Amino acid sequence: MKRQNIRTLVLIICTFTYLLVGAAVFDALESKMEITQKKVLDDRKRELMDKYNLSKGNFDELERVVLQLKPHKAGVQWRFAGSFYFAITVITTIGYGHAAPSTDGGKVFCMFYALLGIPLTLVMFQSLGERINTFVKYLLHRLKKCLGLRNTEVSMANMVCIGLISCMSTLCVGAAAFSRYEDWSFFHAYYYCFITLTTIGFGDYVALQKDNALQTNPQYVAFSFMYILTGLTVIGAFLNLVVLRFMTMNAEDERRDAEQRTLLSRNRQTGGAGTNHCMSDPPSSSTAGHGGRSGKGLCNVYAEVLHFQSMCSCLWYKSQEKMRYSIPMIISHDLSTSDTYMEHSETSDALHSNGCVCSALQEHSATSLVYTGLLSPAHYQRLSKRRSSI
Amino acid sequence: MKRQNVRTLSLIVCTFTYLLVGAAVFDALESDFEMREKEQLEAEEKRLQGKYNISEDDYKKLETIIMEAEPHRAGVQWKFAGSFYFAITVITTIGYGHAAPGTDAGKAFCMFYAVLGIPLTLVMFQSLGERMNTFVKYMLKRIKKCCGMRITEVSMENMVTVGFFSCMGTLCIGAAAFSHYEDWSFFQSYYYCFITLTTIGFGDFVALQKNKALQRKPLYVAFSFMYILVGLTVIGAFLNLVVLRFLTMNSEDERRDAEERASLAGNRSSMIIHIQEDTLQRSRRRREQQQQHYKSEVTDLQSICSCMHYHSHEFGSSNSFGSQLSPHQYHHYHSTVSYRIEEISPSTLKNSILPSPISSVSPGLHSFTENLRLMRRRKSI
Repeated sequence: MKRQNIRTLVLIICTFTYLLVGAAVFDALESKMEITQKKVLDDRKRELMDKYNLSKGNFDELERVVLQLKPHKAGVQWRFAGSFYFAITVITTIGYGHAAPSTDGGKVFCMFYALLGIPLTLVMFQSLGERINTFVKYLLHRLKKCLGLRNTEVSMANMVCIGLISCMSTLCVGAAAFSRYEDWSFFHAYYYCFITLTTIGFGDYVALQKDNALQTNPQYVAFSFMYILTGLTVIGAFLNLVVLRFMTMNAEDERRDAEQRTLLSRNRQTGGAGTNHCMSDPPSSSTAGHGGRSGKGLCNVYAEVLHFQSMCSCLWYKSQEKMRYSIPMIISHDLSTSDTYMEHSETSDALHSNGCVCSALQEHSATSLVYTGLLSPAHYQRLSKRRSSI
Repeated sequence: MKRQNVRTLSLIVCTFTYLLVGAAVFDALESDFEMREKEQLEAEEKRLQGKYNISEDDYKKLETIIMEAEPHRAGVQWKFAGSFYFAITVITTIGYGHAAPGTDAGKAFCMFYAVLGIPLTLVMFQSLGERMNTFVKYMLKRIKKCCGMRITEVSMENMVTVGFFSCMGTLCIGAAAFSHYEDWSFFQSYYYCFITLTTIGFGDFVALQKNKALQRKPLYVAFSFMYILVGLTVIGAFLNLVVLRFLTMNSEDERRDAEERASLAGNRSSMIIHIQEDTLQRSRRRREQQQQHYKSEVTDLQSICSCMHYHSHEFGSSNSFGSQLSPHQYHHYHSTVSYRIEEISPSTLKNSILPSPISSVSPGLHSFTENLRLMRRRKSI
């Protein structure tokens, strides 16, 4: 099966398994507490109902009113500051729900607003995140130079380390600030920052909802907004560094496959004459090969570009025989990728393995040189194909 | 200024402007209603408080009880079905908040669960989305062939149209289903589906919260879960088609800049070598006609573009390929390839005994680099 299909199936299975495991663990952690808490609340509710002689209907009425008043109690939610807060939660997809549009017009506008805003924000955060990564890489490079280290190259491991540390510190800074302003414990504030910056945004903890902060505490409001946006940038930079390459893997493989198919079909069309030409060489060259070394100097090799492919420009050099000298025809059909090809080329004779038509040169060593060259770059390529440079 | 910096700055400015405009519009749309509703509710509250003669303290207690009991009203939230629902809202980052971990251990596990789950889910949806796009493209091509159309190539516009209609279709199907099961209006259901599938997840409308559905209606529960996951895949496919290329633009530009810098540095040295070798060769051949130096280069390309340059050496030399393929050459890309060829081929031209094939090649080379520059920007599907 194609690599992309296998990858996709594996990912689907992994995700489902992950969901099942998560569900089981959350069940184990929260179920008991839920049952006991419900019991406690029911008892207290009954107590109050008895005290004030409330019927169920009365209580439901009260309940409705209280729940509907909840956002209002937290402050004015739709003045400019509150609306800005809401707009942030929409386009960053955090979506606390502490305030949600009540009017139908608000709901409709919210949908259109999200439609345009979410891609814009995604691209913006990735763009800014990439700039930050580049800047950090540059700084690290300079730092390494200043420190007089021998190896001043910034590796992926360095960058990931720095990314992790920045994420952790961003969360800690936010936790410290919000635990002070919102009167939460440090752990709860950290949990709030985490849930916010991963854009999950439950809404069980929401900043700017106490003491009418949205209207009365503009500095804290500004800090909260900046924190959310900067924090999302830091997380976005880390995602850009680590995760983004995996999101484009299938598309890259698909492009590579398409190129190979085009190459194969093109070579079939045009390579006919060339390959015949090439194939007729071995007899003459093998006799010449042994005689060998003297003919070497008279061999001309021309580098000729066969064609370029779209995204991946691969140069296939087709050197042509000049007069009576056989010239190596290096036509590698699918040099770029398929693993089967690579395995094949390692085991079988290079001259006749999967479309890599190399007629023997007078100089046998040259051919083996080329063959080695075919292998080792391919080898490197396979290694470096997965290694994504920063 | 560098292109990437300009791009990033414009995006930041755009986003801030977008936020400001959005805030202003939401203010205009919702403020009045909010004020009126608040007045009404507070009046109602006072009335009820007076009717039942509830003291201030007791009323505060009542409020707390009611708020804390809210998730319980909707049913058991943490049995397996409810936990699965919660787990979905975590790793897809929807995060309704209809149920949130009460225990500290639950909160801590939730964080670790998200750290691993969110990237996994992101990659999974993009992967599956890309497969869907490829399949749809294939189907479209077959349909075009069957319909006997002249052009059977599937263009980007075709794909975007199909993607857009799939999204609309998904939202409408969900809206119909949920408005039936949850007793919401079609518009409210549509709004719910939209907010869910964009992973915003306010939590003002949440499925499976009526009539203890999580425990009593396994089929409806299964449908809801499947709908959310499939819907996210469809949206993910559309994003993969339209938005993903923009997420990698800065990185590609940065790589290209790095290539250019490297090739400029490399070519400065390789050009000199070529020139020296040319003169050497010419003199040698004129005298001896013995050895022919030639060079063609193989450079390995990185991830997105895997290409190879062949660096073949002088015959009989013991140099292996490996020593020549120094690490920095792996970072050479398109521009390096084209640049070097333009440098190499004229030199080999001079050395060639049969100039004609090569001279026919070099104009081709120039046109290739032109094509290359064009193709580099053209993002094929």
